[in-house]
This record gives sequence, C-alpha cells and structure tokens, in this order.
Amino acid sequence: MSQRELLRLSLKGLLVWLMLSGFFWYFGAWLIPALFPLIKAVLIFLAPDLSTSLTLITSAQTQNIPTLQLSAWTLQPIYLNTAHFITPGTELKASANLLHIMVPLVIEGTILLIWPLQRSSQRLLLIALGLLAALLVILAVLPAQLIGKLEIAFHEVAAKGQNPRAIPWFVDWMVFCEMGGRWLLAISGAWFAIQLQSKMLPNSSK
Amino acid sequence: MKIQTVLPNESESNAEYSALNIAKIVFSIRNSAWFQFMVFVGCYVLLDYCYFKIPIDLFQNVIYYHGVVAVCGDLINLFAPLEQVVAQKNHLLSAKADLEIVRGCDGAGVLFLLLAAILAFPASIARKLTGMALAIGLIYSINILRIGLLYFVIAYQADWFMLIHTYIAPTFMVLVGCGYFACWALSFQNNEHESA
Repeated sequence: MSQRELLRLSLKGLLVWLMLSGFFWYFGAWLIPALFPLIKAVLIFLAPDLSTSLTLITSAQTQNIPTLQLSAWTLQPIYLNTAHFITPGTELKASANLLHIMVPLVIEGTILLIWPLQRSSQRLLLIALGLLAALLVILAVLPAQLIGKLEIAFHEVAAKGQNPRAIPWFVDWMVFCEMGGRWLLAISGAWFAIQLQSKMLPNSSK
Repeated sequence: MKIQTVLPNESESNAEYSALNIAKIVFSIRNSAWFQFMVFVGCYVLLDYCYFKIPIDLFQNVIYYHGVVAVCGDLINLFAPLEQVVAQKNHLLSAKADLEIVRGCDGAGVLFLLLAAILAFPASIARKLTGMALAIGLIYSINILRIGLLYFVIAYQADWFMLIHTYIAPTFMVLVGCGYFACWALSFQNNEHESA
C-alpha cells in the first residue's frame, strides 16, 4: 500500500468516524430501546435477585445527553455484611451515558466501513456480521456496567462492617471493560466479522 | 557396506526433512491470523493485569504527578500564563477548574492495545521495539493534549465536558492508534517488498 493510499484511507476513516458519530448522536436514543429486552435478559442472568427496568432519560444533570437508567427492585434481602442487609422492595438506581455506550460501536463501525474490499456484496455481508458483533459487544459490556455500579455501591457499605459481601466476577469484568477492555472487544468484534466475511465471500483472485 | 553408507544419509535427510516440516508448521502457526489474534488479546490482558498491580498511591503521588499533571500544568502555563495552573498530586488546579487524573485517564487502555498489536504482529525484535517506543511517545503526547484540552473545556465550556471526555477523546485516540498501527505494519511490508 502506498503512502497516498494510506492517506486516503485515513481521510476515509475520519469521515466515517464523523458520519457514525452524527448518526449515533441523532439516532442513538432511538436505537438503544430496541435492545432493552436483550439487555434485561443479561441483567436477569447477572442479578437474579433483582427485578429490573430500563429507561432512557435526558436532563440538565446529564448535560442533556441521553442516559440509560437502570431501576432495580430487590426481590430478596441482599446481604452486605453482618450488620447490614438491603430489605426486599428497595429501589436501586444506576445509569450509563449513551455516548459512553456508543464508543465501542463507533470504533467497530469505523474499522468495518473502511476495511478494503473488492465487491459491495462483501461490504454488505461485513456490515451484517459487524452488526451482530456489535450487539454481542453491547450485551457483554452494558449490563455488567449497570449492575457493576450497584455492586460497587453495595461494597462501599459492606466494606465498613465485618464479613463483607463477596465481590462478584462481573465487577472485575466491568472494571476490565471500563479501563479499555471494551475497545478491545470492539476491535475483536471487527476482527471476527472480517475473518468470517473473508471465509464466506473471499476476494476473487486476478 | 552399502547399507552402512546409505543409512546415515537417509536418517540425516529424514531428520532434516522433519525439522524443516516442524519449522514450516511453526512458521505457518506464527503467521496465522488466529495465532496473532490470540497473542494480541493475551498481551493486552497481561499488560492490563500488570497495570492493576501498580499501587494507586504510586500512581497518584508519583506517576501522575510527574508524568502527567506537572507536564500538563507547565504546558498550560507556558501557552496560557493567565491560567496560573498548579499541579497538586493528581489534580490540575486553577481558579477556574479542578481536573482530577484517575486510573484510566493516562491513555493506558489505548497504549496497551497498540503495544499488544505490535507484539502480535510478525516482525523483527528491532522493528517491534521501534514501533513500541514510537507508540508510547505518540499516545503520551496525545494524552497530554487531551488532558490540556479537557482542562480548558472544564474552565470555559463545561457543557462540552461529557461529550469530549466520554465520546470524542476515546474514539479519536483508539482510531489514531489503529491508524498508527496500520502505518507501522504497512511500512514494514513495503520495506520487506523493497528489500526483496
């Protein structure tokens, strides 16, 4: 690849990034509620002791950026430490900024849309596989992020007493994702989509 | 007599053949996309694990202070002396803003991705070391610029903070990292073709 081609690809990447950013800025709040049933299914898997509800809110507190709010009601007493429990029926809240959620999708989308291909059929297949990968990335990151925030709040209280509640595995996963692991997942998602696409619709040899 | 002269040669050539086969298999595995991907993920996880082994006090009082906050403060005071920014532990303070640098605000996530990608790419040790040294310089410089920009955003346009901090800066840094890796890897391929 020549320097000129590389420059063209970089400019294309910048344009696609701007385009996807605009798309998610305007349509993100419309897209994410379509995923609520799947996100709730993962939430139930992670925290079966909670009844959850998801809403998208926009307020001055969140600088008018749409925010996904998790409301969770405890179905059973939740143990914190020997002196503290959360009683059933207590409402707990955690939230995630929509722009923050969109970061891995934009990274993955940008890589897939500028990936050099020969035919438009390959591009279509790559986009379809990329959407599937993006869905998996969201489901791997977002529910753990929401429930993880609740768990961190539990642990802050629990740590003040004796025999504190054990930290569940998804808190470590959430921390991993928040420190950059979600970018790794986005790149991995793009890589898997590219590998599958090249197996299903390979480049024609000249 | 004939057997005695033929056998050692046959066994020698067999050994050579099998060694060549093993070398071919090792080379093909090393160059397979899946192997490189596993090395990439493995290196990232290892770097992330080591990062979390560094005590938070060391980060706040030494690494962030000397490596990020003091440098950023000096740069802001150099270009905008009226800001009178003071570096205090992991805080960048002025009359207008208080920017706290916490774990993850150091560009480590992007840097680990880049280092892992360079380590996984089949290249000579010298090229990898050059690539990694330049990657550290690039990400460090971009991160200093990002923190400087975030300081001015908090001080003068606080409404933009969330947008820039949670969306524009991370996506931009990761994509710059991808671009750098592409340049490094492609220049390597181009050089290989030229020398061949």
